[in-house]
Amino acid sequence: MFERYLSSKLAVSFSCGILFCGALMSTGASAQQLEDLRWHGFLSQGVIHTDENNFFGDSTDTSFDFRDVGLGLSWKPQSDLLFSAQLIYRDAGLTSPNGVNLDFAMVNYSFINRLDFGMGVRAGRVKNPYAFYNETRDIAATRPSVLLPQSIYPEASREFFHSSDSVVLYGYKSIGDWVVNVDVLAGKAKIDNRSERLLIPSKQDASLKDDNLFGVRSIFEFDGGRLRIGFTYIEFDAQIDTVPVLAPPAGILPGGLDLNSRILSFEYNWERLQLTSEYLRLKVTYDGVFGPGVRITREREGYYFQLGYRLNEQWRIFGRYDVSYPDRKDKSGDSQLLIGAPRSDGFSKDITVGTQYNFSDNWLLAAEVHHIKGTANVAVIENPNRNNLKEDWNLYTFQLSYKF
Amino acid sequence: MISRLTRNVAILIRVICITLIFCAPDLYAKTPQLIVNADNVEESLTRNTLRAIFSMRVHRWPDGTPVSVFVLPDAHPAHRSFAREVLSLFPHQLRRSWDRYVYSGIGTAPIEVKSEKDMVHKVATVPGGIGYTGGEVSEENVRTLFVQ
Repeated sequence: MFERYLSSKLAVSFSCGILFCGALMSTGASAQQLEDLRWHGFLSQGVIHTDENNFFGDSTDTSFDFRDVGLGLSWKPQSDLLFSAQLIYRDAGLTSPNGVNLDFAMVNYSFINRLDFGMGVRAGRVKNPYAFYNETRDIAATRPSVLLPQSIYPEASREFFHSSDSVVLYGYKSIGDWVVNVDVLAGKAKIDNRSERLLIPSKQDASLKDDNLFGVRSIFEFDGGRLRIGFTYIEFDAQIDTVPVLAPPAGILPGGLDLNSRILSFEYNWERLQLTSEYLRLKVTYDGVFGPGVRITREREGYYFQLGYRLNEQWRIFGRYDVSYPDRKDKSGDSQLLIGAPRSDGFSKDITVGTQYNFSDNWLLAAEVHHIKGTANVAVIENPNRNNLKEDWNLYTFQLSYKF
Repeated sequence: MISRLTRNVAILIRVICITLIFCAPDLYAKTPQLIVNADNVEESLTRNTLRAIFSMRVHRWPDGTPVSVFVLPDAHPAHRSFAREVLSLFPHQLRRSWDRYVYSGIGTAPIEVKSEKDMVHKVATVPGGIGYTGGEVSEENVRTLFVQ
């Protein structure tokens, strides 16, 4: 715990250092140096209304608890070295912790940078290279919709998957019209009470220790991004530390947790039409937690198909079908009844239509309607009484955002 | 006599008008030009190399000079025609890759200039500078590069 506290302290002082160096650079710096130091930021405010079930706050009464504010700085003292940091304030009902968080703070060093081949390293608090949208999921302008497809980017586990304190080795290689980008990550995930509650299968007092995070992503791009194909593998393992109070099944024992996720991503761009699809398998294994020598594995499956159409440089419309099964061997949710949850927790099928309007280079207005069957992606923390959930529900959202 | 003159004048006006209509697009349509700082030793660049430069993946020229990329605002006609005709990309595709870099901290966006005049001035004064204009340029410290 202390180590974790120390590493977050280090990350904060590191980013303060960057800000301070930046401030020094900008006082009395020449025009050229000023261009090496750059600010950026974004803010967005959304409204969510649901006819049943809460999503980002008390949404059945219309929730405004849906905002992001980010402020970042980058400093490039020489062409192969880049320092960058970003602070984020986020409010998403009870789903995310409120308050200001260090989003990233890292040093990037590119040691080979040829026209056709390059390699480099990033270290610090980094955004995890995960599928197509994870790194920029908070920036409205880079998202295809207000809410990302929950099959691949579930809001309930956002904090855990989004960023980590890691070292990333990256590279690119271009061959003819193809470019391949590879990222390899090793480090520590951000673990707090919220992610412990999500990963530990009991309300018993327990914590995670000896955790490791490892990931690889490669993205193949053809013809300047006309076709993009991505493969992601990410693995997290840890020990569950607890003093058993009751024997299983009422309580849990100390044991191992192993989580691995594989994602296949696909995108094709025509002049105006864009087809995107991603497919995920996420396997969670508990070793010895439910009894000495007992191994229990559950595999989540999720996928979506999305078709976007750009009417012009300002307007875009899209439609999406997004499916999640927390246990791919139980797509009807029958086994949910055994743990006192409704069948609808076993699946989620979301049909979404929406629009985005870029009314200036910096401003974006987006709106969408979701018709959802199932409650697999409805956060427990906002809906603790699962038996009050409704299987068929609608979600309406509207968001205004600005970036610079 | 007068009516004949009138008729000839009318024909002449008609011919001039038709000529103007056909020539006008050629007179005013401009081809976007790729420009680099005069010290740059490259003779020509391929479209794929230009995409790597304008998507901000490449930071150095082969001789080691840092690359400084200058762009006009997304909605500027010269930016649109350069993106579409030279890079074969849409302005929104370029913007998306720059946003990805900036907001995840792994890179920077090009430096945005307000006008074509500023563009030429920047490329002329910054070593390793690269940019574009909507049409022909006449500036000593800037070279126009051929795109393969």
